[in-house]
Amino acid sequence: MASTRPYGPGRFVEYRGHTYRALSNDRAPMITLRVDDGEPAPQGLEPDPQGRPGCYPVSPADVTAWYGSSWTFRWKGELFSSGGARNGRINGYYMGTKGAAFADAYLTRTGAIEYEGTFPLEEVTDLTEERHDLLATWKERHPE
Amino acid sequence: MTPRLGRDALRDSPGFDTRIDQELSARGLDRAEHDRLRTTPTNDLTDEQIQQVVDVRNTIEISDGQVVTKVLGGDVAKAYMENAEVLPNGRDFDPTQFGGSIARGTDTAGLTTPADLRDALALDDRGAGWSPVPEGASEAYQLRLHAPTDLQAVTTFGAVDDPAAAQHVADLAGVGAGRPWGDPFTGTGYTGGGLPEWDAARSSLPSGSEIWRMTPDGRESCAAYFDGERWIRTHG
Repeated sequence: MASTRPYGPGRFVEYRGHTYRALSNDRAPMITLRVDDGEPAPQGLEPDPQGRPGCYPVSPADVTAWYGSSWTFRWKGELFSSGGARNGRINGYYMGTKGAAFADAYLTRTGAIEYEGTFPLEEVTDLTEERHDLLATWKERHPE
Repeated sequence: MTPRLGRDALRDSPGFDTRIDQELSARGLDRAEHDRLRTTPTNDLTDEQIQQVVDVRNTIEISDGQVVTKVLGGDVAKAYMENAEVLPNGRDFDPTQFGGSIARGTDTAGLTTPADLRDALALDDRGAGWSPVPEGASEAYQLRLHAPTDLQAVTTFGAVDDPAAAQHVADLAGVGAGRPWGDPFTGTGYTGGGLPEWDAARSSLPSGSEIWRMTPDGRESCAAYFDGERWIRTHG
């Protein structure tokens, strides 16, 4: 059950015009493309030899895009790293600048430097996606 | 499945002590004094002292693929291993993600007991309840993974409970936003126990991530591994 939460971190691959989720494994020579329910099976790819359902290995050389996606949002004006939305609420890890005073008032402390909260989606602003181009990195490391 | 991230695998590069010694030697600085400075809250340091600390700290980096670690509380470790979406306290959880405070494997390889982790990572919560390793813990759990290419982790520069001072430290360090956290935060980029730490944004866990269980006798065993979609328990 790789994460499918909207606005959560994830990896994606574009293959033959369709965007699929991808599993994260930079140490493998192939990308593992993940077909979710209702998505078309990728043409020309063999199923995962390890037998994982819905998984198809694909070479980075054969995809048109491959990227890591992460999201941030603001709540009460403060910045959060998004863990994704579920049941109309969004979870975030606090990255703001008001610090402990704000965090102690509104959030749950989960570690020495870690605070997080879960908020109604309608209360957050500035939902922003950042994409990291994994295909460009791969091409730099594998020049033709 | 053969565990791949045992203690020996954590030592994939020289540890922070080696780097600090090299940097101090090149700068003609004293190690004992530097150790005192880097474990003192930046609020109590002069600009010159802060500059010395952050300049050395900025030479310690996480490289692509390097093993990074994160201590997990028992309830969080269990939630990962059960692929749960909610923690026992009702808090939302996603077992396919990680984030927050992380340290390099090479810097934690010598921490072999729960007490070692608690001391080096400054996990004494003084009863507040957030510590992943309570005092006298009979076990501790550590998440271990290879740093993904798209890891977003920043050094924990800042100041204790002072947003303006935190930003000043960040400016001296040449980074974006300073962190204004409460005790036991130092703002030097090191834990109160002197270990380099980073603050990671929420990220997808890579395949092959492992959770290790550590006990007071110094033994460790792999408790579970992540296959890219789900956590699988092992016999550890």
